[in-house]
Amino acid sequence: MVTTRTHRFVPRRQFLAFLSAAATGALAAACSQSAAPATPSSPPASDSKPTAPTAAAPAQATKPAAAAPASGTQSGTAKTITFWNEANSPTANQGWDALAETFQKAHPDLEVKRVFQTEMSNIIKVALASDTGPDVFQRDIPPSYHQPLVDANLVIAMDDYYKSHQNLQNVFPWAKQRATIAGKVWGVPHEVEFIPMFYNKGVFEQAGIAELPSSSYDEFLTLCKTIKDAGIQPLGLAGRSRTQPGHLYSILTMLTVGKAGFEQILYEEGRWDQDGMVESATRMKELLDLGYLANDAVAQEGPAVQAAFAAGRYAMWPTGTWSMAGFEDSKKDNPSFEYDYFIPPVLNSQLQNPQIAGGIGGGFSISSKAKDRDISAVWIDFLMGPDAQKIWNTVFYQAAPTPFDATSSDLPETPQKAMGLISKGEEMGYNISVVVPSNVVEIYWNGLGGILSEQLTPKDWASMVQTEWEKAKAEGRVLKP
Amino acid sequence: MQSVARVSSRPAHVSLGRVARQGSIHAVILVALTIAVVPFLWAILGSLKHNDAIFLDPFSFPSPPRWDNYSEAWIRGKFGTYFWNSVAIAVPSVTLTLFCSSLAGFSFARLRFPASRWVFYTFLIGMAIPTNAILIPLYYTVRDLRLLDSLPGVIFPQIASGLPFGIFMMRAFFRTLPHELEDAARIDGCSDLGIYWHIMLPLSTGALTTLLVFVFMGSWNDFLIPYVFIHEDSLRTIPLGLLHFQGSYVSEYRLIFAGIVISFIPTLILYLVFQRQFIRGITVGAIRG
Amino acid sequence: MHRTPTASTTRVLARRKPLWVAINPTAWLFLLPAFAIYLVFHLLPFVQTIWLGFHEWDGASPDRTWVGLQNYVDATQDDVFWRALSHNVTFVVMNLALPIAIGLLLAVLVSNVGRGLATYRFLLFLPYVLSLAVVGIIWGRIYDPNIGIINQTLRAVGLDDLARPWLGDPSFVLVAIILAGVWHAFPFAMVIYLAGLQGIDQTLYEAARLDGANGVQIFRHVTLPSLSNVTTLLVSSAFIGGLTAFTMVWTMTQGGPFYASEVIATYIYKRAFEDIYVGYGSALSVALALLALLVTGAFIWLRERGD
Repeated sequence: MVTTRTHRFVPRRQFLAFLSAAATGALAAACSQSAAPATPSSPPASDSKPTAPTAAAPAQATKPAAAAPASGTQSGTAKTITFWNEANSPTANQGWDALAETFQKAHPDLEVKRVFQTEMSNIIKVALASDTGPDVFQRDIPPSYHQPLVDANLVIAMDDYYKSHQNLQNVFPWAKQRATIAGKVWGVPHEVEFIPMFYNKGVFEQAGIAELPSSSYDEFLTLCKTIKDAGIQPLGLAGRSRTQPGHLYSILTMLTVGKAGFEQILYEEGRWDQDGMVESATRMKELLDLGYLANDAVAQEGPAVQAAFAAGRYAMWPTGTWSMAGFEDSKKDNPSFEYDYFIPPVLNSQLQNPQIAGGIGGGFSISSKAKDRDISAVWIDFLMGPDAQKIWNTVFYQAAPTPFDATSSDLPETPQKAMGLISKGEEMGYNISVVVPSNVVEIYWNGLGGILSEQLTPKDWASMVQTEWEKAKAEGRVLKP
Repeated sequence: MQSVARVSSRPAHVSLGRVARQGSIHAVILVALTIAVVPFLWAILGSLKHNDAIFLDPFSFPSPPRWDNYSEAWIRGKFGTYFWNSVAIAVPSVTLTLFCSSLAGFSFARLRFPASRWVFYTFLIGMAIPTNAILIPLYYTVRDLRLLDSLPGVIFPQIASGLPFGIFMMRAFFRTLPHELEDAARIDGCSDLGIYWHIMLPLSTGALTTLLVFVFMGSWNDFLIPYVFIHEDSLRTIPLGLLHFQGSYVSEYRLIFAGIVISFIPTLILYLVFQRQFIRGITVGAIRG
Repeated sequence: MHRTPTASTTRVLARRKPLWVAINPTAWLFLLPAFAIYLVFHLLPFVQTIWLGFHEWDGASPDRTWVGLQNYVDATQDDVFWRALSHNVTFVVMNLALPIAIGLLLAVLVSNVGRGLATYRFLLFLPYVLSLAVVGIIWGRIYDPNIGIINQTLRAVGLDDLARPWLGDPSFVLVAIILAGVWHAFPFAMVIYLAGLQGIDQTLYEAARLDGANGVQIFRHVTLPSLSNVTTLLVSSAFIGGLTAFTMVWTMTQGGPFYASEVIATYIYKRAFEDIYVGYGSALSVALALLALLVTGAFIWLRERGD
C-alpha cells in the first residue's frame, strides 16, 4: 500500500496517549466531589470553537484504527520503505502519485511511505544522524552536498547495485560521475535539468527578430538591443527569490570559463576570484546597466515574472527547465502565449558552443541505517526505469539520465525539444548553486543580489566567495584535489 | 462614514466650528481607515480573480467572481489540510495552556508552599526570553523526543512559550478573588483541587476567555515554531502553506490570495463574536500590570 | 493586597500539621504540568543555548568542540552581524516612534467621535487580526514593483518618479518592511490607548478645566501621565518586537538584497539551520536573549520605581 499519510498519524497517536496520561494524572489528584472530569478549560474553548475539537478528535481516533487492519491484511509480509522527497507543486504531487501507483502494481509486496520534505537540504543530515531519517531520500547529490554525509557514514556506496540492477546500469556515465566521491558512487542522479534562455515567441516576432544568436555573445547583446529599441524589456529576472540571480550567473559562467574551467574550481585548485569568474559577474551587471535586465529585477518574484513573461512584458527569462510546467499552465489562461528557448552563445571565443548551464538536479540515496537496503535499491531501480521515465517526461518535464526515446511521448513542443536534448546523453555544464556547499551558496546568492543592487563590486563578491570556498575546503565539505 | 452624516445633520445649536472640528477628526480617521482596510479588500478581490487579472489588472473588479478559487485552494492547494493542521495545533495548545496556567496560577495565588516566590520568578524569566533565542537547542530537544514533523512538536513549544504570561495573568486574577467562599469550602472539608474546580474555575471564566483569545491568536498566527519544526507538507499550518506557495515557481497567486482569506477568517470570526474579550485579551496586563 | 487572610489562615493550619503538609504536595502537583512543559521546552533550551554558544558544532556529529569565547570574538568581527544589529536598532527606533504616535493620535480622535466609535474601532483594529506571516506575504505583493498597489497608485497619480523596487532597493527595503509592521502594530496601540483613555478619571478633566487649562495643556498634564502605564507597555513591546523581528523579514525578503534587511534572528536562522554553524548561531542567540532580558529588566525596574 503506497501511502503518504501514515507518518502523520503516529505522532498524533503518541500525543493522544500523552494527553490522556496527563489528564489521568491530574484527575487522580481530584477531590471526591469533582466527579465530572471535563478539562477545566473546555467551557471557554467550546464557546469559541465548538466544532474544532470534535472534528479533530474522530480523525485521531478512527484513522489509526482504520490503518491498523489495512496494513495487517495488505502488507502481511509487506516490507516498507520510507522515502523522503522534496516538496513540490501540485503537479509534481500528481506525478509522484502516479510513480507510486505504478510501482505498487509491479511490486505488491512492497510498501512505500512517502513524505514530502520542504527543507530537505537543511534537515537531512541531522535526521540521518539521529536515526529519525528515511530509508531512501531524494536530494541534490554533488560532492559538496554529499561529502558530509559520506564522511559521517550516513549513506551507502551504491556501486554493487549499479552492477546488479538493469536500470542503474543504463545511467549515463557523466551523470554517474557527478555522484562519485573517492572512487565510489554514493547516489543515483535522476533529474537532468538545464537553464537556457526562454523567450516569448510573440514578442520576438513583434520586435522583428528573425534569427536567434548562435555563434557569439555579442549577437545576444545585439538581440537585446533590438528588443529594447522596440520598446520591450528584454530580460526579466525574479531577483527576490535568492536563487534566480544564481541562474543567470551560471549561464554567464558557462559562457565565460566553460564547463571545464568551472571544474577546475570544483575539483582542482581553481579560484573563484580568477578573471573569468569576475568577468561573468561583471557581464551580469552589464545587462542591468545597459537596461536589458529590468531595473527592478532584484525586487521581482518568480510568479510575477512568469506572468509578465507570458504577457509579453519581458521578451526573455533565464530560468530552468523546471519552469516549463508553469509556462504550460500560463498557456491555459493565456492561449496566445508561445515560448521556446535557446542557449546563449559563448563569450569566450576559445569555448565550443553550446555551453549549457545545467546538469543533475537531484538524486536518490540510501541511508546507511535503512531497514532493508536491497528493497530500497529496488525502489530506486524502478524510479530509473522506463515506466518511471515516461512519468518524469510527461508530468515533470524532466528526464532521468538514462537512454530514452524522447519522441515517443506526447509532449508540448518546447518540453519535447528539451527532452530531446537530454536524451542525447551528452554531458552538460553546471547550475552552480546545486554543486557548492551551503556556506558558499549563501554568499554566492546574497552577493549576486548585492551586485545587482549595487552594494558590492564583482571583484569583492568573488573574493568573498573564495574565502567561503576555502573555509568549506578546510571543513572537508568540498572534494579535495 | 455613517457617523459623518450623523454629525452634519445634528441640531442647529451645534456650532459651525464644532461641526468642522468633528469633520476633520472624521477625515483623519477615514484616511487611517482606508490604509487599514485596503490591503484586505485587495486580497479579497485577488482571491476572486484569475492569475492574469491579478498581475495585469490589479485594481479591477473580478467579473465574474471566481468562487472556484476557494474550493481549488482548499483541495488542490491543500489549504484544507493546512487549515485543519492549524486547528489541530491551536486547540490542544490553547486547552493545555489554559489548563496549566490556571492550575499553576491558582497554586501561586492561593496555596502556601516553600519557595513559591522563587518558582514564580523562574516562570517570570521565561516572559523575557524570546523564542528566537532558544530555537537552536529547542530544535534538538524536539528532535530527541522524536517530535520533529509532528503536531505535538509544535504544540509543546508553543505552550511553553505561552505559559509564563498565562500563569502571570491567572495568578494576578486569582489573587483578586475574595476569600470567604474558599474558607467556607475548606471548613466543609473540600480539598485544594475541589476549591480550584468548584469555586475558582467557575469564577474565572471571564479571565480564561480573555486568556483564550490571547493564546489562540498566538498559536494560530505562530510562524516561527511550525516553520522550524515542520518540514513535511501534509503537516503544514496555514502560514507555512502560504509561504510555500509564494516560494514556488508556479504562478498560483489566486490560490495564495484565497489562502490568505482562509487564514484570517477564523481570527476574524473570533474577533467579531468576542470583540470585548478580544480587546481585553490583548490589553490585559497593559492596563493592569 | 488580599494576602493577609490567606497568610494567617494557612499559617495557623501549617503550625499544627506535619512536614509533608508544610511542603504542600498538592500545590506542587498543581504546578507540575506547567513546570514540566516549561522546563523541557523553554528553560532548559535557554540554558543549553548558553552552553552551545561556547562550542563549535555542526548539528549532527556526535562531538562538539569547546571553543570558549571564540564564537563571541568571531561575532565582533562579523560585518553581517553588526549590520543586522544596526537593522534591529532601526526596527526598535521606528517601532517606538510610529505605532505609538499613530495609535495615540487615533485613540484620541476616535474617543472624540461619539457614536461611530465602535465601528471605527472595529475596522481600524482589523490589521492586527492577521498573523505577521500573512502580513509579510500580503505586503510583499503590495510592494511588488509591477503588480503592487503602491507603485500602481504612484503611477496612476503621475508620480512615476517615486515608484521604485521597494524590496530590491537597499536604501528602502528595511524601512519598507518596518512600515508594513507598523500597519500591523498601530491598531494594537490604538486599542489599548483607547482602553486607557476610557479608564481615566473624569474628575481630573473637570478639575483641569476649572483651572482654565486648554486642550493641549489638558492632554499634556492629564491625559499623557494617565496613560504612562500603557505607554510603558508599548515601549517595552516595541523594544522586544524590534530586537526579535524575524517573521516579516523572512516572509518578505529573507534578509536580502545582500543583507540590506538582515536582522539578528534571520541571521541566526541562516547560520544554524540553513548552514552548519550551530555554535555560532547559539552565541548570537545568547546575545539576543541578553539584550531582551536587559530591556525587560530595565522596564520592570523603571515601572517599579515609578510606582
